Amino acid sequence: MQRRKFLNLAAGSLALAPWIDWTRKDELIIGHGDFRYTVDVNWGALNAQFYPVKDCHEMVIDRKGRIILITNHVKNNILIYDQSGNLLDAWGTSYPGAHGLSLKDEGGEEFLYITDTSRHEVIKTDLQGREVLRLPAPVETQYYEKPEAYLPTETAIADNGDIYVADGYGRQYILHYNAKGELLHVFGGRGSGVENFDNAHGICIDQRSGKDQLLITARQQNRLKVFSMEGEHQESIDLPGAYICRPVVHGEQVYLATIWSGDGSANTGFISILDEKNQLVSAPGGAAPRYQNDELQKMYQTLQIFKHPHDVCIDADENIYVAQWNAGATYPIKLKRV
Amino acid sequence: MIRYILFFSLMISTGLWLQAQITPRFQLSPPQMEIDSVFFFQYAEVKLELDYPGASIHYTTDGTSVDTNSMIYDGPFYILRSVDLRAKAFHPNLLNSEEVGVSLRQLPAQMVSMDLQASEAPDSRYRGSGMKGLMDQKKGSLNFAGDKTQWMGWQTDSLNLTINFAQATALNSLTLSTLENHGAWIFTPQSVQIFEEDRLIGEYTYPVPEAAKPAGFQFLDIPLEPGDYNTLTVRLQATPLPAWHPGTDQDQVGWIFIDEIIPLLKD
Repeated sequence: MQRRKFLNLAAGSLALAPWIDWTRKDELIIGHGDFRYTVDVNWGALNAQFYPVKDCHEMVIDRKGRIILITNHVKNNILIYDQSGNLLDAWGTSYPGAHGLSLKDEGGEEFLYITDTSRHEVIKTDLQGREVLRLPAPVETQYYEKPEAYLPTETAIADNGDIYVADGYGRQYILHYNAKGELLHVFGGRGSGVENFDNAHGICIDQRSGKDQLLITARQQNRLKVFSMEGEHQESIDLPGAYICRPVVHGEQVYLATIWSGDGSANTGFISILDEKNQLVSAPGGAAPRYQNDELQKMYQTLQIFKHPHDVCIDADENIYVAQWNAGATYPIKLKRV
Repeated sequence: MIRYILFFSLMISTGLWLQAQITPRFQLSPPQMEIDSVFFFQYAEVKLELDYPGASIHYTTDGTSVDTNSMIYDGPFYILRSVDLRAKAFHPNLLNSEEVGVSLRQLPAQMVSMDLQASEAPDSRYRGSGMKGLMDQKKGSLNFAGDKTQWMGWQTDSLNLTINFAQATALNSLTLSTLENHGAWIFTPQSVQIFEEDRLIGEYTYPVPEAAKPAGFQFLDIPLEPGDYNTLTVRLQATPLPAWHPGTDQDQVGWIFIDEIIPLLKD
C-alpha cells in the first residue's frame, strides 16, 4: 500500500471512531446527585525522572488558578500546575516531612503555610519558596517536652492573620498563634470528650454561616468537628466509615478527601462532598450516601479509582483535583464536573 | 475488497486503541460483608452489599474461589454450621472485584468456663474489654482502632496467656482469633505453643509473610493432645517485621492483636 493511501485510511478511521462511539459509551461517571464527575487519572502525570513525587499530600489553588501540590520528595517539594496539568514551576528541597499546605491572600500577596512532620515545625513562604516565618515546635509550653512529640499536619489562616495548627499525628492539640507567631491558646488534645481528637488531621476556616468557624477533622473517629475561633466545641458531624483528611470549603459545599472507608482497609478511599447543612450528598468512588433517621449509613468504597486520597482542591468550574498518599508515587487525578 | 477489509480492521483497532487510551478499565471494590456474629451457637445472618448500579455479587460457602457460576446473592441468608464464606462482585463493564472471605464458626452450646491472665498488660490504647472480652464470643471488626471493645493489642516479643479452668476440662483443640493488618504493623504471631506445666501439648507456626497482604482475620486452630486439663499456658511469639516492611529498620516486632480464645472439645 502506498504511504499516502495508508495515511488517508488512518485519518478516515480516526474520524469514524467517535461516530461509532466506542469511547463515549462507557465513559465512567462517578458521584451522586448534582455532584457527578468524569475521571482523568493522567491529569498530573509527569516524567518521574525529572519531577518525582512520593506521597502527594495536599494541594491549594492560587488567585491565578494555578494548582500547587506539596509532596514529601525533596527533589521538588512543591509542584505548580496549570488546570490542564502542565507543569509551570517546581521548587523546595528542604521539607522531608512536607505534609500540610495552606494558602492565604494577605493583602495583595499570597503566602503558603507548610507543615513538616519530620522537621516538627510550620514554615511560611511566598509563592517562590522564600521563607518569611517559622513556627518551631512549641517545646517551651507544658504540652510538649521535645520537638519529636509535635507532628503538625495542617494549618488554617484567619483573615486577621491568626494561624491555627493541627497536631494531627502528635498530641492532637490545636495551637492558635497570632500573625507574628506568638502562641495565644491551645485546645483539643487526645481524649474521648467532644472537644478532643483522635487524629486531628485537617483544619480550615468556614465562613458559610456569615461568621468564622473552625472545621477540624477527627479522622480516626470518622467525624468532622465545628469549633469557634476561640476553641469552643460547637457541633460534631458523624460520617461513619469515612476517614476524612482535610475539609475544603468551596461555595456552599465542604469537600473532603477520604483516605480509607468501611473497616479502614488499605486502598479504600473516595471523595466526600457535604452540602450547606453538612450532609453527605455525593461520594465519588463510594456508595451513594443514605440517611436513616438523620444518621448516615456506614460509607464504603464501590470503585477502585482511588487508593488513598489525601487532599482535594476545587477550581472555579468546580472540578476536583485529588492528591493521594501511598498510591505508588502517582500524580494527582482530576475529576471534571459534568 | 482487501482495501475495505484493511479499512475496517484498522478502524476497529483504532477504536479499541482509543478506548484503551481514554477509558481505563476500573475495578469494582469488594462487596461489604455484614455478619451478625462470626462466632455463633445456632445460626448467623449474612448480608452482602455493593451499592454500584449493575453490579452483582456471587459467593461460595465451601472455601472455593468465586466466579459467575457461583451462587448469586439476592438477599440476606442464614448460616447454620461453620463455613468459609467467600464473595466477589461482577459488572459487565468493569473489572471483577477482589475476592473477600471470612470464616464463620459454630460453637458448642456449652462453652468452657475459665479464667484468663496475661503475662503483661496490653497497650493502653488497645485494652478491649479486658481479658473477659477474649471469652465473650464476640468478634472485633477490621477497624481495630475504631472498635475499642473487642481487640486487645500487645507490642512485645513474647506473650504468655494463662488459662485456669473451673474444673478439669476435656479438650482437644484451642482456637485463637487474631488480626492481621500489615500497614498498621499488626502481624499474626509466628508461633503459638501450648503447655500444660512444662509439657508441650500443642503447637502452631505461621510463616512470615513474603509481601503485605490485605487486612483480615485469622483463626489459629491448634490441635491439642486430647486430655483433661486444669491449667494451660499459651505462649505467643511475635513476628519480627519482615525485610519488605517499612518499619524494619527500627528492629521491631509486629503487634499481636487477639479478640477471642476458644478451648474446645471437637467431635
